[in-house]
Amino acid sequence: MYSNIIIPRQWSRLACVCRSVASIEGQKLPQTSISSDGISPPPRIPRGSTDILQALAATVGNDPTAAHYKYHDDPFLIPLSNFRKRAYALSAEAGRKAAAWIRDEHANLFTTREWDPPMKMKTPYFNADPQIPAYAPKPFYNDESIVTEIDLKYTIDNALLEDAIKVFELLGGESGLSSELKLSFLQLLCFYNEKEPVAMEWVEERWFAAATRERHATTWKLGGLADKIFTSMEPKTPEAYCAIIQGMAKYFQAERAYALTQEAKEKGIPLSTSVYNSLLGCIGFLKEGVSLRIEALKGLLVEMDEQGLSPNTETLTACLKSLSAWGGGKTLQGVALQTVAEFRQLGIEPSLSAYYYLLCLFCKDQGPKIDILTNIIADLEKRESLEPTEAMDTNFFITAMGVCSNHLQDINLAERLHALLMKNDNYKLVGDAYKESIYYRHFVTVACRFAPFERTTQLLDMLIPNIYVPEPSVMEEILKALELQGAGARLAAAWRELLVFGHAGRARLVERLLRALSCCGREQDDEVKEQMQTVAADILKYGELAEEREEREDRRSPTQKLSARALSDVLELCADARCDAGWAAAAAALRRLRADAAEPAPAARAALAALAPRAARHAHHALAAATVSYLAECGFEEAIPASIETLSVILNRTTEEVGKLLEENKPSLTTSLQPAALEIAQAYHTAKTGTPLRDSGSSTSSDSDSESSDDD
Amino acid sequence: MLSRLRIKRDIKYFVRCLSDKPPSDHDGKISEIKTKDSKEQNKSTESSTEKIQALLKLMMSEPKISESEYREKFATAPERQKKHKPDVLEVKMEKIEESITKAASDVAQAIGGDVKQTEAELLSKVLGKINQTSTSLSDLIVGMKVDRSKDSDETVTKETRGQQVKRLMKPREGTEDTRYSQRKEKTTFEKKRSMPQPISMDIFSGEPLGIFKTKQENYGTKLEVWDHLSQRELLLATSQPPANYFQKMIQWTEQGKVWKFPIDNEQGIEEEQNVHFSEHIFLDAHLEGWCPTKGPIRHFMELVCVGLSKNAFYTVKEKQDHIMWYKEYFESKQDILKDIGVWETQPTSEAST
Repeated sequence: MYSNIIIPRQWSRLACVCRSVASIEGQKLPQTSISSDGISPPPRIPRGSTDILQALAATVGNDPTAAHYKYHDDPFLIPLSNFRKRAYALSAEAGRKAAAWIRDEHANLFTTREWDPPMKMKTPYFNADPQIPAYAPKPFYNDESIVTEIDLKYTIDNALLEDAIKVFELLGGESGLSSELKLSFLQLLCFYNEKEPVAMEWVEERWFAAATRERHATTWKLGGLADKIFTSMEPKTPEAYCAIIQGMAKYFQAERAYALTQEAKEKGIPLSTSVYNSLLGCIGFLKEGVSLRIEALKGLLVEMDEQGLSPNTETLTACLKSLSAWGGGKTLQGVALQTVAEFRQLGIEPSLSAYYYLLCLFCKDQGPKIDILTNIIADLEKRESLEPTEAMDTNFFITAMGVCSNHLQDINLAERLHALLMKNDNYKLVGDAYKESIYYRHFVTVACRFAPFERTTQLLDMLIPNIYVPEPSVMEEILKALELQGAGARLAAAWRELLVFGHAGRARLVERLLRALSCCGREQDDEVKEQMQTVAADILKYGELAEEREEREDRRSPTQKLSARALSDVLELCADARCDAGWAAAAAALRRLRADAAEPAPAARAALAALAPRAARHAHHALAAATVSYLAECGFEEAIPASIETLSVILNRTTEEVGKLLEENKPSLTTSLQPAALEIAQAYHTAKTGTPLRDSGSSTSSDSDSESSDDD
Repeated sequence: MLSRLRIKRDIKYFVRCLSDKPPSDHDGKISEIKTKDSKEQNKSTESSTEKIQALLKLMMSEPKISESEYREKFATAPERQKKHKPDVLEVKMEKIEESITKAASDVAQAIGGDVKQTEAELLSKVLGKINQTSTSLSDLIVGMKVDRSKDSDETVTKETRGQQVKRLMKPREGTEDTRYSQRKEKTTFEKKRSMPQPISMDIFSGEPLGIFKTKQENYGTKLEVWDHLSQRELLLATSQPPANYFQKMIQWTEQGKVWKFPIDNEQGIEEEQNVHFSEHIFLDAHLEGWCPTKGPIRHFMELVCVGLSKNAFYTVKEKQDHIMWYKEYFESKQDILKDIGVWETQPTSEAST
């Protein structure tokens, strides 16, 4: 306790000394100082502007059960389906974009501070001090703008390509620029091939943008601005050569790139490792045939060595990229392994993108199963951190998970990979929303198929719905896994999930769910059975509502109706109905089956026969009557015993008495029986003879005739 | 479909075994050989089967062309390793034959009428062209009409047969046969593959190419803008929406929207950072040299200096410009000022005195 007090006192004394030592401005504190009483304060650690925030952010744990931070402003609107997640995040971003638009559109309103006198206006754009570029209206360039080289520099630094071209033209084209600025501009043009890049500011938009695959085609703009600038540059510096060659190679204009490389070599212009890396990436556009290409690849590496250039990780990645793009096969795989070994000898470890290309090369869908992933994961686990070095690094995790699920079908490997992704802040390597969902699709699929059930459910509870919303195909996998384990309560809950995730309209999935429910239904507890029957009732009700809506709104794509098979599943499930919902479900299913004049599945016949007397026992006489007459209409033999039994329940007599009654006085029955019982009696006769009791009972179908004639 | 094809192939093979005529595609090879052996053949007596048999045996024992020579001269199907015994195929063949005929007769029985006729028709359907009333498969094949149009010469037939026998004695070297067995092998191999037994492979097991010799590091010409842009692309590829408020703050800090840590109320006013505060406050020095040392103008200017020294928004340059503006103003009004006697003390004269 005492020491706690003493140390601050010492500190204040120390601070006093420091203050006296430091200059009046007080910018510097002594780096190390040992005071007379033996206390040595640690040297000052220079901190970056976000270090403390990062330390604080690291203390916030990851809560998979909570919605993502961007959604939790409004608990009422927490999105649970993929569509909504996307829509909400993008609409928030759209608000920000709208604000930025207004600011840019009315730039004159955002240029000065209230207290600045008009004479302080220095430029027509912006005068505030300190200037905060993020809040300033974006400079707008048109043909009348007065621009300087500073504007060009600004546009190049911020990668505003179209603006840069405009400013460049305003400045008078190739002739009116300093060579240094021209070089910067050339690099910008080459890097993006004169196409405006994605803006940095809109994170959500990029996150949800559908990933456009990199085109493997010659897209370099021949004779474009970059070419013009390059030809106008005199003398041509090594940088200019490097920039134009890298640009051409990046957009697969291989022949020109090689020609320029040759030219540069003849002139004795020093090239760079990056130039060779980019050339390695486009060998395939120059040579045909695997052996020629491998020759060329080795040739380029030898050339690099001759030029005295040392390779780096990108060199390895470029080699593997080329190799993986040329197909598969033992030769290419052998060369790839050799390359990896060569670079390892040089102390260059493969980056994540190198591993990505290796996986592409070795793990083909049709090819033999080759397990290189275990090795790769073991290597990555050894590394302290996985720093992204190239944009392609984000492809590694989704490809590796795909290999786990489709190629190796190994859940342990998948879990190791997932653990790796969750380590430190590796999660940023997952890429964007699209890649993330593919990653989890693979992960959940492999877990559903191969993991022990407890582990699967644990995983599902963790991931769904906040981190990942399963797509229909994955949902089917989940339902299969649940059915296999007979997890009745979870199956019952799955309907809610289908509803929330927006899959309830997919008849295929709903039918799968009903099938699973009816298969597992028998072995469940009463409580779970009740839940299941409620779910069945809900499903039918949802279908009816959807149909009604469809009629009202005249939708273009009609909702899919449940098949007779699915309705039979409902009947099977509700054969021993325990609650009102169960009875309602059975009644609805029966109604729809009769309306469609469909035959039930064979398995449902027994269920129907069992349902009728049970319904009668629970005073659902109309349902019992409908069941029996449906059986009779379809011409099933079960109709006769079922009708006798049901009638015996309703009339409270023994079955023999009822049988006799039905046989004997036919005419008197019509008057003495209540409507439900009468219907059953009619059904009995339909089944027995193929003709109804009264001729007026016209609803009995003719298709029963052929079948019932056999009974006679 | 597949099984049917296989059966057909088997049957084809079977047909070929039984027929006494070699397939037409072997004619080319055989006709060349015949010239060599024709003399020997001419000596032998005509059309005695025993003689032919003897001859065949002779040919078997002493082939005119040695194996290697034959191989050199004529294109032969490459030798393939056989995995299964020929008997297996025979047995299978028989089984297939049996099952086909049995099935056909069953169907014929069920249909009724002329049982034999139906059965034969069915079998002929299976076999393609044959149409007769015999019921066993071998019967059918024996009864087949064989095209003999090309082989008018008896000796040629014998010789070709000798060759054929020789080829046939080396059991089942025929191409169809090997292809079939190969296919079988392939399918079983694929089955093995689909079993969860991936081939484990060490990615670092390769032999180095041996191209690069370790030297000092040299990465050549550096492109600053290019590197900056690729860094930007990398950042774009790995950036994610913030997951908590601190991350959002980090994002804002990086975008320059909030104060940077450590907090400093002069942040962003870099222009004046290297100007000492005294230059902002002690502005009297700028009055020296032109301003009267006393009187109302001096008083006024001192007040201006006090005011400026308290202004936090002007830069030192602006403050000086402000004072200089007054200087020019007073100098332009010098005549009047002198008349009233407030501009008497000339700095130069004062300095000299």
